Amino acid sequence: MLKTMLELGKIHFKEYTIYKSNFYLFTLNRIVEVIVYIFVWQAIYMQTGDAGGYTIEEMVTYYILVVTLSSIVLWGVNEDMAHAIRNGRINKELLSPISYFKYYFGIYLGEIGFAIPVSVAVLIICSIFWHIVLPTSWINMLLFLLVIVLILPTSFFIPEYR
Amino acid sequence: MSLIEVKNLTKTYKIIKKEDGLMGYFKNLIRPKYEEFKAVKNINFNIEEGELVGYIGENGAGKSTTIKMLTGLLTPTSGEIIIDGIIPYEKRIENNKKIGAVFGQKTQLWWDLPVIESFRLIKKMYKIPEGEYRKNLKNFTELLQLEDLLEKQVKNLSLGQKMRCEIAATFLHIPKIVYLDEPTIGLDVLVKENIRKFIKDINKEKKTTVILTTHDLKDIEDVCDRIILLDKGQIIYDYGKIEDIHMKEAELEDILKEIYRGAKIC
Ligand SMILES: Nc1ncnc2c1ncn2[C@@H]1O[C@H](COP(=O)(O)OP(=O)(O)OP(=O)(O)O)[C@@H](O)[C@H]1O
Ligand SMILES: [Mg+2]
Repeated sequence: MLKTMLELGKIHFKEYTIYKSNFYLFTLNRIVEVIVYIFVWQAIYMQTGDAGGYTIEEMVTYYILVVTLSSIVLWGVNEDMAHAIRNGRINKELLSPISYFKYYFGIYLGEIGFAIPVSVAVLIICSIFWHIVLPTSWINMLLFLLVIVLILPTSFFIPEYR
Repeated sequence: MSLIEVKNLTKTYKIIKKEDGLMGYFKNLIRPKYEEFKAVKNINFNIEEGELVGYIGENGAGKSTTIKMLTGLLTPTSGEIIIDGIIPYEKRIENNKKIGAVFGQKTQLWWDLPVIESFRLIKKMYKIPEGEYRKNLKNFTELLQLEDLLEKQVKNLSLGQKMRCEIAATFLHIPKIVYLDEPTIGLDVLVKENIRKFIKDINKEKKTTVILTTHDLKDIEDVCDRIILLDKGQIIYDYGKIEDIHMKEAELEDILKEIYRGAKIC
């Protein structure tokens, strides 16, 4: 059953990558977002010299991570579902030999398969241009990684409505 | 027991009644008024394995509504449907494994990908054994002339090409029952003929039961061996054998026209 879902994920992923520019555009889009945040915070730091005790580097790191991770979290299947309902494709989805839930879990795997490389690319490119502050302890680092793993099922079951 | 058993099947749609004006709009938001519309009224029929049934009637007669109930997409308001021993809307997935369906021009193929990718996914989803998949694909490619289409992106296919691929996709797992809701809509004569012949061939070879709705009487004459005629949600004609109609020495078209006008024959 997992194999069928993976196949669905694969085909959905392929659909994304048919347009190779998709990958670059999404990545660029995210980086622009980072730049905007950083400009805003640089302006604030220039005015006040301080924001709640965080250094500008820490603030920049925070925003790079926010944008990086949100490109995984915000990626859901809710839009695909809404589309399918409106254009009638849902009929065919409901007639497939696996349940609607599993069908969309497969699609979700494809989405994530596309979103994660985008996130990684954003993180790498940003870390070239800006200094990223590392966590202060290993425990913090591990907890952070745990949260990222937990994001995946959460963002499937509780999609962000855009 | 028949393969498909339909007893006293009724479907009533609930429609929100629109009121005019801004006040009406807000009234509707708070307490919507519903109107009921009976699309299918108390119909009965049995279909045996291997039958080719033409399900026809005027626009809005309730054909698609019936097909949607048979496939398990819609739940009947009342009445019974038993398909190969199961109730389709209760055991949807189990039923889905045994059926195939085409709805007019809506495609199940993956729009941006080559046709063959959709076929491969179908193979995985229905767990079609490799050998059987190859055999069917080869057979269908020949019958529906798909050689040059398989590597093309679905979005680049013409309507007729798409429909041939769609039909192949629907039959690929050799379903026991296939529902075709207007499969020949908008197609040219040759493609129509091609598709009709395909349906007949598969039916002969695999005993696939086919229920087909159409407005093209040639579809009926060439493919079906039985017609069920629906009018305003009611079955007004279920003649069994299509030869019997021809025995009346009139063209099918004339007979249907007469029935559509409300005159009863029999
Ligand atoms: N979701 C719905 N809500 C309300 N009414 C509906 C709905 N779907 C269909 N109807 C109504 O039910 C009746 C039967 O519709 P149906 O689509 O079954 O007709 P049909 O026989 O398939 O017609 P056609 O030949 O035009 O495809 C029509 O009068 C239609 O307006
Ligand atoms: Mg219809």
